[in-house]
Formats: sequence, structure tokens, C-alpha cells
Amino acid sequence: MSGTMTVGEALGERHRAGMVRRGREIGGGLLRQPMLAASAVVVAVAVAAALAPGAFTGSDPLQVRPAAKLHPPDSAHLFGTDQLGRDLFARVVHGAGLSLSCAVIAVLVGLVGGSLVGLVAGFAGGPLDAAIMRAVDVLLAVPSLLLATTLVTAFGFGPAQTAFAVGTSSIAAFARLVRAEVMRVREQAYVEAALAAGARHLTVLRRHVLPHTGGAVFALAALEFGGAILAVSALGFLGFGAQPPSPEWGALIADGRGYLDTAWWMTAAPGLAVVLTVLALNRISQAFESPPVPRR
Amino acid sequence: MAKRSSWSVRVLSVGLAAALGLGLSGCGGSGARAPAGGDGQPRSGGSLRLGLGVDPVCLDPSQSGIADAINIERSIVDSLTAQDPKTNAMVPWLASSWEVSPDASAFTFHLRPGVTFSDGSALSATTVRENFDAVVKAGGRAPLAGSYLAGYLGTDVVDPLTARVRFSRPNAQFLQATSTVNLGLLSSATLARPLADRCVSGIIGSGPFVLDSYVPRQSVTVHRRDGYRWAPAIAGHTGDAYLETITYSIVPDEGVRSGALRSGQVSGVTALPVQAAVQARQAGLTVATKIIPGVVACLSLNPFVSRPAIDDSAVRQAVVKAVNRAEVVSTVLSDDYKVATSILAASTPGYVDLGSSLEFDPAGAGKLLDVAGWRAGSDGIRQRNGQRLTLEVAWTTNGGPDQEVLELIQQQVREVGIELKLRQFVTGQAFPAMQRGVGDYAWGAGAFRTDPDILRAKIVLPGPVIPPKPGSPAARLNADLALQASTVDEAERRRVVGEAQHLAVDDGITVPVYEIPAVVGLAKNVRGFSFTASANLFLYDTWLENG
Repeated sequence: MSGTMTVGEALGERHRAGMVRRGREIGGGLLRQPMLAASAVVVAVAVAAALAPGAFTGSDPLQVRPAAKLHPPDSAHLFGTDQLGRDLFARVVHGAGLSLSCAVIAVLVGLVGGSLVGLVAGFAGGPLDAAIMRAVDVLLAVPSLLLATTLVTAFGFGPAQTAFAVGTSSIAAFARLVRAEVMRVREQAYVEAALAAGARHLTVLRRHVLPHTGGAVFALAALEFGGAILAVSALGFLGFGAQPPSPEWGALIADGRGYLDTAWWMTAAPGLAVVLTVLALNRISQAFESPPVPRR
Repeated sequence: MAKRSSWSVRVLSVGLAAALGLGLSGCGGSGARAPAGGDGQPRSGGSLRLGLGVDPVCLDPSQSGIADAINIERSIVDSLTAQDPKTNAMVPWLASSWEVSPDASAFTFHLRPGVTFSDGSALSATTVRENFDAVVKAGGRAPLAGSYLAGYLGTDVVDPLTARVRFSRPNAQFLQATSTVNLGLLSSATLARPLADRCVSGIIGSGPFVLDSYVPRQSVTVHRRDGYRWAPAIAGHTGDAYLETITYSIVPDEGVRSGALRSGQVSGVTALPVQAAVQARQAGLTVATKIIPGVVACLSLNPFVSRPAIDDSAVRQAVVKAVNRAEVVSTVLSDDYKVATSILAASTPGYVDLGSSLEFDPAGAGKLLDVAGWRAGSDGIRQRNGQRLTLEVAWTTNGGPDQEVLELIQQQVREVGIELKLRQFVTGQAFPAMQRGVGDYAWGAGAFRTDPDILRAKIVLPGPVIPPKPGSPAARLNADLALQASTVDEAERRRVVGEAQHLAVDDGITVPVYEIPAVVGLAKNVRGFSFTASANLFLYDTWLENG
């Protein structure tokens, strides 16, 4: 195979080159777009906090200090303390790991599950396609938060369960997109050529169809990531996610709910973390979506 | 794409609604109240608006157990007896006198003449029989009321105003049970309706107020009954109630509920959270509190499990010693709460002070664990034979400070090397999970009744899976709990109940933490408010100044 390239591989190569170029453009655009740059910094900080919380704070997020409860933000406690005297900055930083990893799992579940369903439906066509897509329609008809809440009640409470529930409820969106992409690709001449040449369906799927659906799906995955953080936080807020005393952004906001009048920082700090991360992720995924800024 | 925006829109709209709700409650007050004054003489008239934390779900007294449901029903339904909130003594109400047989298996009530229900029908011994028969017939739909009537044989109509209630075995707690709302008397017309229908409408009692409407999850309205002449002996006046109408609004969110009180949208709220009570006092509002008699907030052993750690009595006793109750009350709770000094609240008849057994003693806890062979591991959690000292708590919440309390206890027992894991369940799911063997302990935010028999409802022993060993503290506790229910002699019953409390605490079968108050916030012009003996609202004497 070395040296020669099928038409499909060549197209895939060109597509990859396009993505790389697009990435470079965004990289260059960063300098000219301060909001985009700031978004990148926010996401980088959030990811760094998730990977190495110890680098940001030496405080133990679980250490209770009754004497220092409900302390407003100051130099010792950047985000203040909660009703048990725990350092909120440490809790928000340590909460990043749980919130982001849940969101990653959720997106992966949606991506893998949705892609499989979409691939099969799109490639098989006919009655199987119709049956699968009607099932997907049913999933789409149920509000995602309701579906996720139902699932997490069935699975039991916990961060992993929350992530799977959120992921499952986003399978339908991925499935529809992947199916549409597959339908587009399978009409291409090189797919027909491969089939005519006697290649097995699975091989054609793997080598010619899948590589060409990737771009759109990854763009959706990037978009879903921000949504998944919100969804995971929403379920955490409702008490379905991380079990106390583990810090998780949504659960932290819920903890502060009873203290809105007296200790605003208890909701403001984790709330800000969620809002900034989601806004930043949305801004970044928008950059992938929109055409590059025209140069003069 | 569509998916993502639906998430964000929904979450945002929830946030907006909450923000608007807070904003509205902050500025929506009527604000037209005249300054307080007057001669302090109760005056008749006016409407009282109350915010309740929990939807009553079912307004039929025999089918309900939720505190806020009982709060509403108490103004509609009267009982045979009443209990003095100060002395816990039983006083006459619809029964003007009664006799108890020497073995506490027959109770004869002499009814007050001239009592009528709000539909005009008269109270008679037959009505009493119909009521108790209906409770027993309701079976599983009336768990609480049914447990009060355990061993019920029947009610004899001796004469139109004399009813004798007979049991197949001694039932010492029954007299106090007749003062509860759950055994309150309803008219024959109400009892003739299907159980499910009774939940939402047509509850006809002989109380000082009459039910107008119940809109589930929204509100309940009642109006004053004219010609009410049979107030209990504990009431502050006789005749009609002072308030013309009472509207109970269901406001589940505690922030909105306390905001509604501060802004004057409602004149009173139940279940005022800790922070809001502080603020209400600062704003000059009345905060009425009463410790609820019964079982205190505690960890109690899951009788369905047997694991090396929880089966070790040294571990159980160490947990009792490692919990710093005073710190829990001062950090997470407030002065309205009390440090538990027994498994029963101090206001419960039969309570014995076990304060010395419940002192915070981390050194003593450590010593117990050392002797039992639990040695500190690398991360501070003790181990024995390679097994970590981990205990699990199954818990649910209905809006109380349960999570904060448990998180603090978790840290406190960690100091002596015990790892406590928390497993939260939605209401109703914890018990089935415990039966499947989840959780070494259950967290219970109390079980309320002004009779020590409540211990029996709380401490579910023996488990069908692992019956306690004969002669073990758990087995002796069971025997005591059964014995107290059949003991008529007051002094003897107290002795048995005292021993049961000792067994429950000393062997670590329960870990009492704090006594729970009913906390009610009231506007400045609300007067004459009081609690019943079981810490429910008693609004018959309540009146509005300048109302």
C-alpha cells in the first residue's frame, strides 16, 4: 500500500490538512481576537486545575474549621469559606477535576454511542435506518435534563452515573449528525468504487466513511462539552452527582443556596467558575464554526 | 447544536426564574401595616397567610404523617383528648373523661355532649367506632394511625355518648395516641368516601375551622366555624376562633419562603432554616421554636447488615464518643437546636439524661479502637487485618441541614481514624436500599411523638436477615421496647423506657446528635400563637393585631 493512495485516503488527507490549516488560522487569530485568547486562557486554567489542583492551592478542600465558618473572601481565603469553614478556593479548584472529567465522560459516551448508532443507520439505510431513527426521534422528544434526571435516578447517585446519564441523553444529537454525514459520504464515487471492487461493508465503513465524518462530529463534540459541564453541574446542583463532601461545581452552588443573603461568595465563586468555563468553551467552538476573519 | 442550546436555555431560565423569584419576594410586600400597638386584648377577624415548606399531599388525618399536613389538619379536626404542651398531661377534649382498664387493653371514653361536625351531624359513640374501624380497614394507607391501634379488637357503643375501645393485648400508648391528629375524629360522611378521595377534599371534622379547598402543591384554605363550643382545656379561650380565614401556601424553597416572610407576603412560615431564623430575629420578627418531642436526629444501625466493622461493639461505641455534638450545634445549627442527651428529646415523657455517655471523648474513642485491634493506617484511617475501618451512612433529606451535619460528623469521626461514607437517596429509596444491605447506619432527622413508644417506630429491630443474638444488647433492647408497650404502671414503664435508652446509646445501636426544633417565623402583628404538645401549629388562639 505504501506509496499509493486510494481516492478516499487522498480525500481524507486533504481534509486533515484543511483541519490543520484551520487550527493554524485560529492560532494566529488568537492574537487578533482578545476574547478568543482570554477564552483559551480560561479553559487552560480550568484544565490545569483539574489535572493538578495542588499547584493552585495548598489547602485541603475537605478540612473543616468551625471557627472560620462563613468568612468573606480575603487574602487568606481568596473565595471565602463555607458554612463548615472549608476554604472555597480549594473546593472550587478541586471541584474542577470532578466537573470536567464528568463532562469529558459525558461527551465521550454521547460521541461513541451516537456515532455507532448514526453509522449503522446511515450506512444500512432502509427499514433498519427508519427504525433506529424513529427511536432517536423519541429520545430527542424528551427534554435532555428530564431524560438525564430519570436515568440518574435509575442508575443511582454519583459522578460516574451523572456523566453516563448526561452522555446518554446526548446520544441522539450525535446519531443524527453522524447519520447525515454518512449518507452524504456513501453517495461518493469512491465509496461506490470500493464496494464495486468487492470490499467488505465493514472495511468500507472503517476506511472510507468514518474518516470523512470526523470533522463535523468533533465540532459538535466541542460544542457539547460546554453543554455537558452545564448539565453535570445542574444534576450536581440537584444532589445527584458527587456525594458529600467531594466538591463539585454544581453541588457547591447548591450548598450556597441557603446563604444567598448572608454569604454571596458561596454561590458566586463556583457559579463564576461554571459560567466562565462554559462561555470560554462556547467561544472557542464558535471559532471552529465561523469563517476566519478576512485579512486586509 | 440544538441539544446544547436546550441545555443552556433551560439552566439559564431556571436561574432567571430563581433570581426573579427572589427579587419579587424582596419587593412584593404589602407594606401597609400600621405600627404595632393596641391594648393586647385578642380581637376577632382578619386573614392569616402562612407559608408551608412541604405539600401536605393528603389531608386525611389517618393517612398523613407529614408535619405540615398535621399543621393544617389540627385546625380542622378535633381529637378525643389533648396533651398539655407544658406538662405532657392528658386533658379532656371531645371526651370529657375516660377510664383505662388495669391491663391497658380497654379504654372507655365519655363523650362531651352537643359536639357537632361542620356538616351538622352529631358526635356519638358510633362515630368513634366508625373512625377507629376505618383506620384499621385502611391498613397500609394509614401506617402511623394504624400502629397506634395495633391489636385493635373493636369499639363497643356502650351508650350514645360512651365508647369502649378494646385491644387484644395491652396498649399503653393508646391514650396519648388519641390526642394525635392521626386519630382525630371525622364525620361519618367523610368516612363513607373512598380513601383516595379523602386526601384532597371533603375532610369534615369538628374543629374551629372548616376546609374550603386544597389545590395540591399550591395552597389550602380554611374558614372559621361559627358556633364552636368545645375547645380543649389547654386552649387560651373558648368559643369561636379569632381568625376569619387561614390560607396555607406551599412554598418549598426555603429562600423564597423566608423572603416571603420578611417582605410581608405571608404572615408566618414553618420550617424556617437556620440562617433565615437569624435574619428574621434581626428584622424584629417573631421566631417561635419548640423542641419536637420524640427521637432526636441520630445515626441508627441498619438491622439488615452484618459486617465486621459495624458488628464490632467497640467501633459503634467509638462513633458515639467521636461525635462532637456541641460543635455540630454551634457550627451548622443554632441555639434553637439542642445537643442530644439521650435518644429521646428531653421533652419526651420517659426521657432519661444520658449526657455523660454522650460526651465528646476522642481519646476514649481511640482507646476503644486500639484495644479492639484497629490500628492507624498510612492515611489516618484505621485498619484491622488489612480491612479499612469504613462505615457507610444511607441518608435522605427533606430540606433540613442534614448534609452539613453529616459532612461535619464525617470529619469528626475521621479524627479518630474512622472513615464515614455518605450515600444519599431520594425519599423513599433509602429503606429498600438498606434492606439490600446498603449502609451500616441510617441517618434519621428524628421521629416525632410525645410518647416514648416512638422508639419502637425508630429502632427497627430485629432485622429479618440477622436477628440479634439472644442476650445481646440489641435483643434486650427489643424486649424492653415490646415490654414498655404493654406496661400500664407509669413508674414501671418509665424504668423500662429508661433501660431501653441506655441500651440504645451505650452499645452504640444509635448515635444521638441533636434535638430538632419546630421553627416558625411570624410577622409582628401575629399574636396568641402556640404549639401543641407535639410541636405542631395551634392556631385556635391566634389573632391579628391591627389585622
